[in-house]
Amino acid sequence: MSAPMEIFFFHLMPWPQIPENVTQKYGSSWVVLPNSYYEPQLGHELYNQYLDQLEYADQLGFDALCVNEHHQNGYGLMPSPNIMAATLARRTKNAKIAILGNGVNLRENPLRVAEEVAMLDVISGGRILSGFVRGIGAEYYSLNLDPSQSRSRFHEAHDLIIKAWTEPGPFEWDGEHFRFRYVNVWPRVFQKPHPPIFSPSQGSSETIRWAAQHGYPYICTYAPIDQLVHYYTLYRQIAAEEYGYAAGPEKFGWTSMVYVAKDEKTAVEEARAHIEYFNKRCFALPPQMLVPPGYTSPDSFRNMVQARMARPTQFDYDEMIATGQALIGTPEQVGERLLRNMERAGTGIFMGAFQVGDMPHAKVMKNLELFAKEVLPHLPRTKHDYRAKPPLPARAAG
Amino acid sequence: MGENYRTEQLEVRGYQVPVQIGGKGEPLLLLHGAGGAGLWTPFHAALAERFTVYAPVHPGFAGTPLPDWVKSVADLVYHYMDVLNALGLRRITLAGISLGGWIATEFAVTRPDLVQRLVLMAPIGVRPDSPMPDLFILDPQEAPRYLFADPKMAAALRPAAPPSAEMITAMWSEQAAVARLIWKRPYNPQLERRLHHITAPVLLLWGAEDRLVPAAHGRKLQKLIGNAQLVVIEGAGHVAPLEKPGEMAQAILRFASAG
Repeated sequence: MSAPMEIFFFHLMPWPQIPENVTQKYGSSWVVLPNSYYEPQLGHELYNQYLDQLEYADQLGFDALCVNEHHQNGYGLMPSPNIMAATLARRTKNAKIAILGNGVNLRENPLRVAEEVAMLDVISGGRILSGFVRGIGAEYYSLNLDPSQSRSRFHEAHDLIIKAWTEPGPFEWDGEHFRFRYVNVWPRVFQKPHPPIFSPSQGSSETIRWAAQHGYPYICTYAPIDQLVHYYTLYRQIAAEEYGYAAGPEKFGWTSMVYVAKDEKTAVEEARAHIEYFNKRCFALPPQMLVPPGYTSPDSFRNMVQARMARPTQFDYDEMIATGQALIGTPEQVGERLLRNMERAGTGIFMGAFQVGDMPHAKVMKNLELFAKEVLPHLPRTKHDYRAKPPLPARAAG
Repeated sequence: MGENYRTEQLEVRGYQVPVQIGGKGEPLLLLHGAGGAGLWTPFHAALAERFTVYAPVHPGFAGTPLPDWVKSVADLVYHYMDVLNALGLRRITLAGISLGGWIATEFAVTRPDLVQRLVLMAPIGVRPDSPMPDLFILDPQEAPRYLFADPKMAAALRPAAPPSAEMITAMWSEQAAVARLIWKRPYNPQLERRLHHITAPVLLLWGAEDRLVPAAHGRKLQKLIGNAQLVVIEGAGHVAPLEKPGEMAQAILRFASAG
């Protein structure tokens, strides 16, 4: 039986007109794809449709709406996730707003993140989930940041933000990367002690260790499920052995593309082009852009190289369906596979991408509605305490 | 013969620096570029006929750990003052290739008293008039066309078997040390107005077909430095010491004989 869960709507807000030959012509849809491919009139319509989709999910009873930060690419058009969270804060009532996450390294000044998330938390009355990320490798090119200092800068920015949210100001911060004579963030955060922190990641062992140390929910997006099981097992192990708590399902998320239709063949055919668009055009990212030098530890890098050598193509549509990596089918099939995968990965947070690639608005709304009507009511639901660090079960005597 | 060299582990303020040492004669400290750490090439061997060549590995290169105290090229200038002390050297002929040329230039500006002669081979460090290509973003297969006059030579130097995960990781780790120094800005905007602090005679050596830092940058440096001669080697690119080791070494030996 799958543990009770929360259902998130994960959105990237992709650009739907990345050229088909993007890899051959430009090498990537990140960093170097000319922004002349961006059409503001279409962009205007898209932003509003994408926000309509997220707002609709609030009405349909989703637990959280996800926004995220990506820069200078056709993959995801939210360079400022806080702007998206701000519009959602006013136009939604119940769902939490999951910022997955703020790329704190991508800001010169982490106090700007502390301030903006505090504003959002106060406006929304405490509905913010605050993810922190380092930014993916491509962003170190786009924003000219030294990847070799990424991790130490991230850790310090995180420590500074948490302190700014939890300790009375003004205080002085004198760190390796940042120095502030006066840290005194107004407004103060709404949630006590602060909004729950999430750690979205690509699976480096250092981030797993860091998330486990703090007990932050850890989410690896679009990784094959075997890899997820491996990462989450490592987290649980570190939590138990080094920090003495049992990491429950509330600490882990599983992300999947979702498309439901009345019959399986229709679902598979209707979703195919959009998921292939994502695989071939949105995710067109050569290794040196994904992991620039020094971005992670040599051990984590070596693991990635070995994984890539063992499995050169990351995404294949039919294989994604066959393995349950993408949930495409009838409501019954999708519900059943969703529960099975959540159980297998030991996750309590389901993050569904109901819009993928160049999927148009009408299809997304139909998809959301059918999922909400025929899948959602059958899922065991809960409200998580993400901060939970329950003690380990006592060992049987003898 | 100059092929005879040894590698020593030099203890420099608690940090281990591999140094290749070979040859006889007055001391020459040779600072490698973004590539080439830990290699003793025919170029080294040719220099070793006239000099005692000291070729240290920069921190974080050739499998050495990248220390936290390396934040910029300035830290390496102070590091090389310590290296000279540890080697018991005083005045030297200082030679640098590309990134090593930047370190050598900053060193000569900071401690002109320690530099008897300065040899800069296609150095970066002074702001170029046109932007440098970004080697980090390139497919590694594409880099040779910026580095070599004849990219076929790069293919000949590459091992036939595809690299192992271990080799790819080693190269990537070394690139992290390069990133630390040049990612944000592959030059020091302040360096140009400090160049007059150099007191040693300067030899600028350039491959005529350098497509990373074109020889025009050498002519600019020659004007800026004043007491500098420029030798442009035909048929060589950015990695001229690899492509034309004999001619490069000869130019340095001639320069040294002159004073």
